[in-house]
Amino acid sequence: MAAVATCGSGAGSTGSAVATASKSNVTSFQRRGPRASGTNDSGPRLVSIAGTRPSVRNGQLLVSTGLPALDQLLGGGLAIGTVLLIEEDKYNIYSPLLFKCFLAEGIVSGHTLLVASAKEDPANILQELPAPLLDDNSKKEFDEDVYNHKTPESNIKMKIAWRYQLLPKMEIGPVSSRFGHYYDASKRIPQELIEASNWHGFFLPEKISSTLKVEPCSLTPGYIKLLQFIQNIIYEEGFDGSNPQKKQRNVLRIGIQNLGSPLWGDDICCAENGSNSHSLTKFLYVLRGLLRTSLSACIITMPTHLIQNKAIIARVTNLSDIVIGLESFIGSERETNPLYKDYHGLIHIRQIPRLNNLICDESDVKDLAFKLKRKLFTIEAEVQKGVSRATFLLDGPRKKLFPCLFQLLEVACIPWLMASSSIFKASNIGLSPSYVTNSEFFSASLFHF
Amino acid sequence: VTLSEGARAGTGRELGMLDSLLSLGGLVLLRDSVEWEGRSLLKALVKKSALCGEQVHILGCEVSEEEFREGFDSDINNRLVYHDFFRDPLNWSKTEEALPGGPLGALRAICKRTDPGPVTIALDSLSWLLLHLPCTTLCQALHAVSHQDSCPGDSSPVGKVSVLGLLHEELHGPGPVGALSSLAQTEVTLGGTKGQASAHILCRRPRQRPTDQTQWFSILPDFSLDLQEGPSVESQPCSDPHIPPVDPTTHLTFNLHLSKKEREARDSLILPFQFSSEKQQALLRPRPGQATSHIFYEPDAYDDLDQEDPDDDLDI
Repeated sequence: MAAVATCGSGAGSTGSAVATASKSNVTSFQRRGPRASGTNDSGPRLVSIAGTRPSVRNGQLLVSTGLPALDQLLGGGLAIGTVLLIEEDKYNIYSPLLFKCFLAEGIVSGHTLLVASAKEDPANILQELPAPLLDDNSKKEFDEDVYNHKTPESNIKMKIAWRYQLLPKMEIGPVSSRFGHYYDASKRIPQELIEASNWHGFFLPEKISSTLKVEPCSLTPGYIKLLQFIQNIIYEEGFDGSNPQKKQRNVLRIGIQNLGSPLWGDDICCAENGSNSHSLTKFLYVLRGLLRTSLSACIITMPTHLIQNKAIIARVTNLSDIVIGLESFIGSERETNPLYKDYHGLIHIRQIPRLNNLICDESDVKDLAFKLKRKLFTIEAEVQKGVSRATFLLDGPRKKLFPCLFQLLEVACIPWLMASSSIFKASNIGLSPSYVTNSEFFSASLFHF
Repeated sequence: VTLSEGARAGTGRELGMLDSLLSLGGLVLLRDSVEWEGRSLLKALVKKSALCGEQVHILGCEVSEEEFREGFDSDINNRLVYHDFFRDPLNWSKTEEALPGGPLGALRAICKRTDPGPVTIALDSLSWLLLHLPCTTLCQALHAVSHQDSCPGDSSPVGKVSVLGLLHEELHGPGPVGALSSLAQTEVTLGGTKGQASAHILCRRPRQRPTDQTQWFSILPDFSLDLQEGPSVESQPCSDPHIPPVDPTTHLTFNLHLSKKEREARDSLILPFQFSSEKQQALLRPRPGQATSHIFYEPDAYDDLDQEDPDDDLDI
């Protein structure tokens, strides 16, 4: 209380100091400085924007990428202010699907979209977005779809580790209805959702009319126009906080398709040492600056298999935050490899950022494969059915996954080793509550000791 | 794709994709080399589309007009609209019939001028254009031309545009060739063995897997296409029946195989933690309303089912 009397010289703080001190007699510390919002509540107000959530690890605000499995691999989602770069597969079949899931997630969460493309009209891109599976019936359908194709064989196989036969191959965290949705790739998004959303399109052939004279070592005109467009949208709609009257804050999702292809006017795919070889890297640098100062997240697909100069790929990787490479099996010798027969391609997670952290948030699983089922795009750890699965693990110097370990123990028939590892799994990675709280499970495990 | 085009493409698939190349539209890239030249195939396709009644425009840059028109009969020659850029590519003679903007200007003018009806544009060669124009400009122009009809909201029914481009792949590095192939809807690579020409056709439809096929053919003197069965050499089989699949269990230092007796012994082993199957199913699929855990009691061999409490004997 003495502290209140002596520090009364601060402008404007005396009244508020007395007020707070009398309101809460718990502490004599009071906050100095003017309040930004000017309201009477004490303490900071949490920014709660629809479709975002803070990361459980470092409090960073995250948005969903549209695929819950991918969110899990990236440590919860895509952080706001970062760039997700997708290296396209060779025939550009699967990367547009990830791109569209990202945009569809923006529509479902009510975010503002900015779609930029040199190949297709953004209005056409939006018409082709996948439909969300929103209600619980569809979620059940999805669960059955995931489980049904596993239980017939697994029931026979697992005699000891039967509790784990229904575990999905990848841990998909709990999907709340507000963060992360599943999408049906065979259906189109309903038209009213598109019309209710706020989106901006940038189609390069409409914006660039004539050939301009370009000085060397500067950005190509297409990139300059795109950066100006993005900057205008961010400024006008107040994503960088420049419009303080806006009550409801929102997130801007930017999607740029086929960046670096010749249709953008960039010749890194055509020549090894072109005249504008720094154009793309400068673009990414400026883009990242724009993103870091606003509430936006960006997805970029890039045909890196066409880029002739490999040093540019390395620079582009360094300038992006998250880099995911898609490698499809079409046309390669892996298509006929029996190990890969269930999958359509591999996913390589090439980079994960360290945002306000010393370490990055990588998942334990390194061999990831994707497949596009009739409706859903799933990402799984690359595991093959059958006894040969166990031996396949042993000759490769790769990290193992727990369900594979269970299969191996089934083969070797070591039940006592099962119990200790199963407890380890329950405590280490958060399983669904049905396993952890089942009291009978714990009593049974104690039995083995 | 209208029904008729789809049907035409469907029957085309049975006859061979070479016949139905033009019905798909978009950019068709003909990649040839020194051993297997592609101009005769280009002329054969031009003849086919002229006979189908489509408008055909030729941008001749590499050979003279007389040489290109050689071999065609007069009615086909009357249907071809030839834009000559061979005689005077830089327009030094400044005549009025020269089109402004060079070959790309001519391309854009063709598209603006088009009446409803399919149009086929043959670029005599894309290699010439690549050597004289920046690759990015060429790609942008080709994309604009070949995707002109793909706007669903467009009110004016513009006909489908097919662009046939002849590319000599030995003249260019992997960069431009890769860039053009990623733009192309169909890619035909010419090759062959022992005097028999073949076309490897790779067809990319927008959101589907690319399909490919190898078609043996020959061009008759009047530039009609003759599809043939290939020579008896088979193409590489995807799974060789002579080599067994690799068995990873062969060279290990420990044994993962079980003999029959061992397998029977293992199956008959009573696990210490044995459940009845309904208990197992109940544990695997927890019912949603189940807040408390149920107790399933199954007596095993050593259990005493006597209900009497042994503590009753105590005398305290």
